[in-house]
Amino acid sequence: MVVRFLKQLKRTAGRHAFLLVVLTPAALWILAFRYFPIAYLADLSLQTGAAGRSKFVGLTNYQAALSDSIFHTAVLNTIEYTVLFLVVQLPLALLIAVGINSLRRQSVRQAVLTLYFLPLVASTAAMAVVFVYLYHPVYGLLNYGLTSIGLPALSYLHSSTQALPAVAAMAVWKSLGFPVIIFLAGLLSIPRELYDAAAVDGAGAWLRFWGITLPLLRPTTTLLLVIQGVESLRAFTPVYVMTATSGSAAGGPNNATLVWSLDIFQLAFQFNRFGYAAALAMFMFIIVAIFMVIQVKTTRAGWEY
Amino acid sequence: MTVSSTRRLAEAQPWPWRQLRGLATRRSWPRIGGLAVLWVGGLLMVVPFVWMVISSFKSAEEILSLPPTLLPKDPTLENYREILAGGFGRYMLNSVVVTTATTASIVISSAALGFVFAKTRFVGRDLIFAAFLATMALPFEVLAIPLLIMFQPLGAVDQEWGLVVPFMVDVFAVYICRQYMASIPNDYLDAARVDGLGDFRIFWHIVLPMSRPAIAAVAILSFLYNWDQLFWPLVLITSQQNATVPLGIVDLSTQFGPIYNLTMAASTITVVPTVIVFFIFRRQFVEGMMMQGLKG
Repeated sequence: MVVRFLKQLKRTAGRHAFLLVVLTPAALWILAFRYFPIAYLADLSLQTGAAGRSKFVGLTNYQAALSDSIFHTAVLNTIEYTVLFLVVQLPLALLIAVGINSLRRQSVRQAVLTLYFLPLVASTAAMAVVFVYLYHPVYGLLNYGLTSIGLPALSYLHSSTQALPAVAAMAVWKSLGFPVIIFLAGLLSIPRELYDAAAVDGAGAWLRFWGITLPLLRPTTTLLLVIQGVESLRAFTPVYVMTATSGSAAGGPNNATLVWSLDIFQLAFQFNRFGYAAALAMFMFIIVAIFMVIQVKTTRAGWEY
Repeated sequence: MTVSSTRRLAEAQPWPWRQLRGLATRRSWPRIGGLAVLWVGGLLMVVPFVWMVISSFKSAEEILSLPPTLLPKDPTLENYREILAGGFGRYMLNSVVVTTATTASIVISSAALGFVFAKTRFVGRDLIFAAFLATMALPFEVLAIPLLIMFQPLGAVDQEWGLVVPFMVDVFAVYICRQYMASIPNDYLDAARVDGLGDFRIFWHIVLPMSRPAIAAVAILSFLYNWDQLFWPLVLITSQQNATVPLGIVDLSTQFGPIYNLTMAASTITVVPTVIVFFIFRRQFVEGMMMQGLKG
């Protein structure tokens, strides 16, 4: 009897052993390195002072953030950067995807696609430094190109109006291949018959694009808006590397490229203001979470067609 | 360019000239314009790479010369020698170790968890899966503050393993594997269960071999993503001997001011390996990108 029970137990344990071996460490990891830190962050945001000598201050940090002009600058810069990035990258990517989709030969498609993919696999920090050199006001290739066709030279990273667009341009270049391939997948999923039917009815290429392609790419576009939007909302590497290595300080000149994540980084890790930085991080978390909820909602809706 | 030379070019190079000519006869000028933009745009995408490689062989004087020289007058390997002597080899080694360890952990965990969430049944499975997925709403920049405070008493500051631990599981990679494995018909698994195979064997002998595309995609995307990490190393690593490549690149240009001949050489040896990896695994990479479009 006992022996049989033990055997039974062993068999059940054996059947679920794999499950437990896989799930237990993963669940513990998620709790320790994702759920605990976010709870800890919320706690930190209600305190002031360095870790260990902290004092509970309630919502003071959040109130301070709302009237902190540097944080306002950071949020506005982040919004400007995100809008610039999306407005340039997504239409450009759609154009390229339509172009690639119209290529007939598979080998040619692959070749063109490869060109657009290369920046995607290259290290961001390494390519940011290359752009710093391309943007050099005197010796840079870009200004050489501009002046040799008679246009005035620009100062890019050294100008407080041009620095943020210059960084955004690098970011557009770096990740352009991603929306291209996603749009291409979206285009391939549009049934050919729709175009044939429209052509029979006499719709030209332009009308077919506006009437069929664009509306049917709506779910793809929403998805890309959210993914790329969140990516640029938390952008750090291109901004940090390009501004820190171009001669001015990170976020410069004159805080013109101080974005949200850079503000958090400097406050927390350079000025040791953990409590205040935690409050700014909580704001960012809330915004990203809202975006994620929108994404889940829209993709669900997208599945219905 | 004369007409005859254009024609000769068209005959010598089947593409894109022949297609352009064929299109021209059909007078679809917008299409030709589109193709031209596509190719010019594609070539512009590559300009920074080409300029980086060319510049890395120029001397310190030549790199700051006006007008810029198209090809190095006197190609030199001095820049490479100098950055390797300055410890760049060490950064490469650190990056390879950290990235490989992280990628291995992500591949193993997402394959196993993908199977657990797709093909096993237990109470609360979907709830636990949702709890995993919800963490995608946590940007790492937000988690870095509490993580650093947690890591200080653990002695993980300025340690290589401290760079690996916060990225050992990638929830999105789990999601990719889970979706892929869910599409494997249950008939295969049921047949194996009837034969008395346990979960592990079903996973190892049936599901894993059938999920190779998803796992390859996860592996290559994780490798590239983690090779690129800057935020966390910048926070955690304080000594030069533990620095990774992105940190090394930033250091190189912030400490001594931008010395472009050196930074171009450093960027080249950082970028070239990943570009080679890309050309070897291009198909897996494209598939991985497409799977990312399933996000949500």
